[in-house]
Formats: sequence, C-alpha cells, structure tokens
Amino acid sequence: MTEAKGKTKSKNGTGILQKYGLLIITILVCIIFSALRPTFHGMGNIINIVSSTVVLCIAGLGLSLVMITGEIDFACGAELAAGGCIVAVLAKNGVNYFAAVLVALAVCAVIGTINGILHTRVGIPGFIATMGVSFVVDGINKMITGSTRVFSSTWGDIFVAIGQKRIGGVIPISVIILIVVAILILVYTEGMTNGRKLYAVGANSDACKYVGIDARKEKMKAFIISAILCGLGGIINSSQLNAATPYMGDTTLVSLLTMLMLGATFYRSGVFNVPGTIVGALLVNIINNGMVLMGAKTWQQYVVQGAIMLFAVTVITIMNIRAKRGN
Amino acid sequence: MSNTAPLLSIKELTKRFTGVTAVDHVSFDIGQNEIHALIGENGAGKSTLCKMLTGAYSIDEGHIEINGEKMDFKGPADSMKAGINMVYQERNLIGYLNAAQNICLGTENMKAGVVVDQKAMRKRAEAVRERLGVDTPLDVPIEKMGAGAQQLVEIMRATSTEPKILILDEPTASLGEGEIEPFLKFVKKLTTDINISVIYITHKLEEIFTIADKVTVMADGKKTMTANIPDITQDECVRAMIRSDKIKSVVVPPMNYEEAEKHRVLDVKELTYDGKTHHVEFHVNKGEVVGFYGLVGAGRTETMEVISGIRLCDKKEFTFDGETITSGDSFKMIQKGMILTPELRNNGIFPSLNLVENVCTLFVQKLATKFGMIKNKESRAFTEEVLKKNGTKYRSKNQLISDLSGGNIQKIIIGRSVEVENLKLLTVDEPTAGLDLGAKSEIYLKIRHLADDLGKSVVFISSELEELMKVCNRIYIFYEGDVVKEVKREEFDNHMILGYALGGAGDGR
Repeated sequence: MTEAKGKTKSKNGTGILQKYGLLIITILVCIIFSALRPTFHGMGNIINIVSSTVVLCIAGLGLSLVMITGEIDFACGAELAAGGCIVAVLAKNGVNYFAAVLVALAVCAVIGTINGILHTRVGIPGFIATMGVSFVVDGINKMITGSTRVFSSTWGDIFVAIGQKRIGGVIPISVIILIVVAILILVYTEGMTNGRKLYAVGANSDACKYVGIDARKEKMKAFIISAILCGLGGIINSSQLNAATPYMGDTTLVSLLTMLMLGATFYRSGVFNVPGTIVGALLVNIINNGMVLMGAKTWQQYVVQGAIMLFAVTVITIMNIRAKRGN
Repeated sequence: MSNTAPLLSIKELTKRFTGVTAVDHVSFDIGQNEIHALIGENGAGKSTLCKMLTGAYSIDEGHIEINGEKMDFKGPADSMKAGINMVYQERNLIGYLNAAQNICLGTENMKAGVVVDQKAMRKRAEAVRERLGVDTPLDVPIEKMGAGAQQLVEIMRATSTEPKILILDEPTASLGEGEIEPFLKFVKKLTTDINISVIYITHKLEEIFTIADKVTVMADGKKTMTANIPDITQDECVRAMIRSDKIKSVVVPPMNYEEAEKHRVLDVKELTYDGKTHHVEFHVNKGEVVGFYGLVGAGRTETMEVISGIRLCDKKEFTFDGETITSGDSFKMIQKGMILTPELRNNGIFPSLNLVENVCTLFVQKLATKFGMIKNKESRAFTEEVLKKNGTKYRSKNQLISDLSGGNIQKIIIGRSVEVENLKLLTVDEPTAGLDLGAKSEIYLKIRHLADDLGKSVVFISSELEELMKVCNRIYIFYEGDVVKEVKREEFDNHMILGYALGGAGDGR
C-alpha cells in the first residue's frame, strides 16, 4: 500500500543526480582521460570517438524501441549483417549502389515485419520468435555471400562514401547520418504520440487496452524500425570496412545490450530509453578510445571497461534504493 | 493489563520524507495475544508506521521496544528475527507452486545440499497447518486456489517463522462476501492458538468491532485515539479518522422512468463470449447510474469488457447511442464515447510513467498536432486541470504515479476517463475497492455528479451491495454470466438482491 504523502524524493527535482547520473559519470571519465592524455580532447579524436560509435549506436537506437516495449529483438545482429551483405552482393554484381541500399533496407523492413507478425499476431514470445528469425536470416546471409567476405575492386568509391568520406574533410558522413537518425528517433520517442504510446506499452501493456492503445500495433512498429536501423548500421559498417561478411553481426547483440543496460540508468531510471542509449553508447566508446590512447593492452581495456560499467550502475542503483527508503 | 512491559511498545515513532512528516510522534502499546486494529484514511501513515516496524523503512525519531528491550532494526531480517512478520495487502505467492512450496519459499529443505526435499517441506507445511488448525490443501497450485485460501497460505507462511507479532494489511480486501466472516473467526482464534499478537490494518469498521481488542486511529500521520473496543462506538472511530466535513451524504434524485426510457444510451440483449451465449438483457438510460451486482465471477466485468471492446468475444450485438454495434476494439469504443475503468487499479496505470504521461496517454491524439507531435504545454496544463478538478493529492506532475495512494490513483483514473470527448457511458469496475470512507464518498459524489449534473450514464460494478444501494438508480443482478433480475431504486431490498445473486430467490430466470 502506498501513502498519499509522497514517500520518495526520487525522479524529479532533488533527483537530478539519479536522473542524469550516467551523463555526469561520462563527463567525469572524459575529464580524467583529458587530464591523462591531452590528445583526448582534440577535435580529431572527438570525431574519432563519435564515428566509432556510429554503427552500434544506430542499431542500438533501433533496438531501444523494441526494448522499451518490453520485448527483445534477438535478430538484430543478423539484420545488421543482412544490411551489409545484401548491399555488398548487389554492388558486386553491378547494381547501382543507392538501389542496393534501398533493397537492403526494404529486406530488413520485411524481416522486422515477420518478427512483428510472429510475436503480435501469432503470439510467440518475442525472444523466441526473433531467435528463430535470426537463425534463418543468418543462414540466408551465408548463402548469398558463400559464407565468406564479399569484396570487389570494381564497385568504386561510392561504396566507401558513407562509411569513410568526410564532409569538408572534417565531419564523416556516417556521423551526420547518426545525428540525423538520433534526432529522428529522439523526436519519435520523446516528442511524438508514437513515443508516448511506446513507453506506455512497456510500462503496462495490460493497461493499454483500457486507454485505447493497440499494444500490438506499437510493438509491430518497433520491430520494423529496429530491423531497418540495424540494417542501416550494417550498411555503414560494410562501407567502413569496404567489404561485408555474414559474421559482422555476431557480437552485435551483446554490445548493444551493454549500451542499453547502461542507458536504462539514465533519464528514466529503470526503463530502457532513447536518450539513455545515446549516452550509454558514448560512454562505452569513450572508455575504449581513452584506453587505446593510454596505450593500454586489450586485456586492460576489458578490465577497465567492465569496472567502470559496474561502478556506474552500482552508484546509480544505490542512489535509487536510498531514495526509495527515504533517507 | 499486566504489570510487566508490554509485548510491543511503539515510542514517539517519527518518519519524515522530503517536506512531509508521514508518521508524527506516534506511541502505543500492544499486549500479549491482543488484536490491535490500526485504522485511518489512505495516507494517514499506517503503512509507513508498519514499514518501520518491519524494518523496511529506517526510523527518524523514536524507537520500538519488544518486551521492554529497545530494538534497532537495520532491515527486514532483524525485525523478523525479533518476532515481527507482516502479510502485505498484495499477494506475494508464486502461482504455479503449491502451498507447501510457497510456505517454504526461500527456506527450502535440501537433500545433500543440492536437491529440494519436497517431503521435508511438505512435513513442515503440515506442521504449520496443524498449528493454525486449518485445512488448506497443500499440493494444489496457488493459482488454482480462491482468494481466501491464498490469504491463508500467506498467513501460514508468515507464521512459519513463529513470530510474536503478525501485521495484517487489509487482509479482507480481496476476499469475497462469504469468506470474510470465517476469516475473522480464524484470526481471532489464531491469537490464542499460537500465542501471537496481531496488528490489524483495515478500512472496514465492522471488522474491527468483531475481532479487535483495541483500536488505534491515525489521521494525517498523528495518532488521534487509542481505545479499548467495547468502550467506543463506530461513530467515534469515524470522527477520529476524518474531519467530519469530509464525508458527505449522497443524494439520489427520484427518477422519472417514463421520461428516461426515451433516451436509452445502451441496450443489450445477448453476448457470446468464452464459447457461451449469455443472456444479459439490460439497458442504461441517459443520466442514470446503473449498478451491476453479483458474486465474484458472475460475469459483470466480462459483460462490460466485451461491450467496451476490451475482451475478445465470439459474437456481440447491442445498441449504443442509437447505433447498432457488432464489432470494435477499445480505441473505437472510446471514440464513440464509452470507456471502462478497470477492476484492478494497476491495470489502469503505467507505474513507471509520471502523472502527465498517465493522464495524457488517453488523449494522445487530442493533445498533439496533426503530425503527431505532443503539445507539452497543453498536456501539462490539461493534467493539472484534471488533478485539480478531482482533488488529487500530489507533489509534482513529474512524480511517478505509483507513488500515489490507491484513492488518488483511482481519482486520476476516473478523472481522466470522464474527460473523454463526448463521453456518454462510463463504466466503473469496483472503483472503491480498498479505499477508505472519505475517498469512497468522494467517488460516490463524483459518480452522481456525472449523472445528475452532466447527463452522462454510469455503469457501476461492485461487490459491495451497500454502496450500490446508496448510489444507483437501478441494479441488475448477475448470476453465472446472465442478468437474472432488474431492481428499481424504490424496490431496493438487500435480502432480496442477495438472494438473486446467490441464485436462490425467484425461479432464477
């Protein structure tokens, strides 16, 4: 039973620390790295950090939508690889690059639709539905690529443009794509009715029917957008590598979950959310980048990355518990 | 009562949250084998007080003594060790496990340290059962049990740690009409059978006078009275609980049925759901409050959920506002001006969202531009208006709705529902469950105001016959999915209505 006299001081007003804790920790990490290595806060390096975030961040924004509704898109890695592979295979066979991109995105949209139908219409749990789809898509990726790296010297510069070219020699096109996608998704979830419905579905899908929200429709949209954005991430990734392999997405899900879990401590604590995903993605990459600049060995990177994450989540969790207990 | 120190002594207990003192220097004693009722409105501080007793909240001022010994609880484990255990209002049982497994949950007996020893657990559960003198089945999954049996399992689990003091938080809130009396007898017997004292939190005054030895009344975080039960009257309790101006009487203006029948808002004959055709012949007139009475499971909720497009059905055909409707989900029905507030309050809210989001989710289309952009300013202003209009107590529009009390949540759910554009029919399903007298009377007034002043129609589903008789113009009685009787206000008689609800009176259909 709850009492009318508010029993928590969290989530607003005095709760700024809880709400924005992750951002503060991210800034602290930046300050520490800057103090240790002045090159860290150079313009070049900052762009470096952001551009290395692009692929996972775009895919993560997509996955966030699904996770907000309380489901998971297990197929995000396969979708990412599909995006890259389809573009590469088509481009190798002389199809116009932009047409190839459109085909790849369309195929991903279809994959997302299948995920959505299996879960919302057939009624299979989201995790299992997307897992099954993930294996099928993975298999098809391997079929069209012959289970190997797809590369061609004839597809020309256009293939690497979105991944490697910089506008005015400074800002990578991929970063601009990320910014555009991030703004669109932010507006979608934080500013539009769609987002309000999305968070409502995640908060209590049973309550949705009482306020006239079709939870199945919102989940469907989330699955489709997630698949398209994962595919877009894969296209950019293949462009960065100037090649595509069906194995590109093998570790995607774990990396994305790391970002999203971190993000869930930010802004709306305890709930997956889009602003949190962006900050989470930045934090992960800042740590990696900083460690590289420090000349750290790979194992050291893993240890520090793990430690900082545990620290961040622990601090924020403790703050939340304290606020709940009222002292 | 005795010359030694009391079993439990609460001394000047105080708990402050930012800006509010939830419990303000409360002191009282609880003796051996005593049933001590703790009453007060929602938000009076009963729960906060008990959470300090169980160690869930830290104590800001004052202390607790057990047998004269000062206690210092660092957390629930300390309190449990000291002999205090609590049964919460919400069930905390695992549905697919049986009673024995639930009773031993967390303290399972192990074979060789790895395998759960079902036999030993069963034996332990049997011992508990014997001690309490009940005959609850131990090997039926919890979800297959009735509310009363589940409640007993909760109590069995709580008493399996052999506490000296058992706190029961509104134990009868989820029980059906017939289950309450045996339950009260059981609690009464418990105190002597297993030598225990009970702190009994409730809203229902009748219960207190049936079982309690003493009562402590709280209001606004302060103790207003502690008294021995036979020494006081129900009225005195009520007066100690609330400022007298808060309970207003409900006035139902007489109805001119001939006139009212001309504007039938809803007209239903038959509905087919769950593979069965149900004869639910009823209608609702404009400006009328119609009550649905029946036992739990008599099909009242199901009927209105089918009509409101929330529950899937096999076939429906009814007339709403002159239009014949055979299909339509809740979104469509809300647009047509029909909305239902859910039986379980938690189904009406989004706990991890704030007040603005909770109020405005129902109006996402209305409070947005053509392109689907949310109008934030309007949303906030609208929320404030709804909260104000309904007298909701809140700190900030950004606070989570789950921080509010049940009464305030209910006010928000009903408050936002009546804002639905061109609303014609509001269905409220058990709107007063678990609310205190003050909050209940506010809901009654709200319902009457909707019907009398705004000309809306209301279907009022409730298991409390008394409140239906107080508020409604007519009552339909449900039995096993069908409407078996219509009663007009002039003919209200609780024996007759109860008779039909039990399927006895008349020839049924």
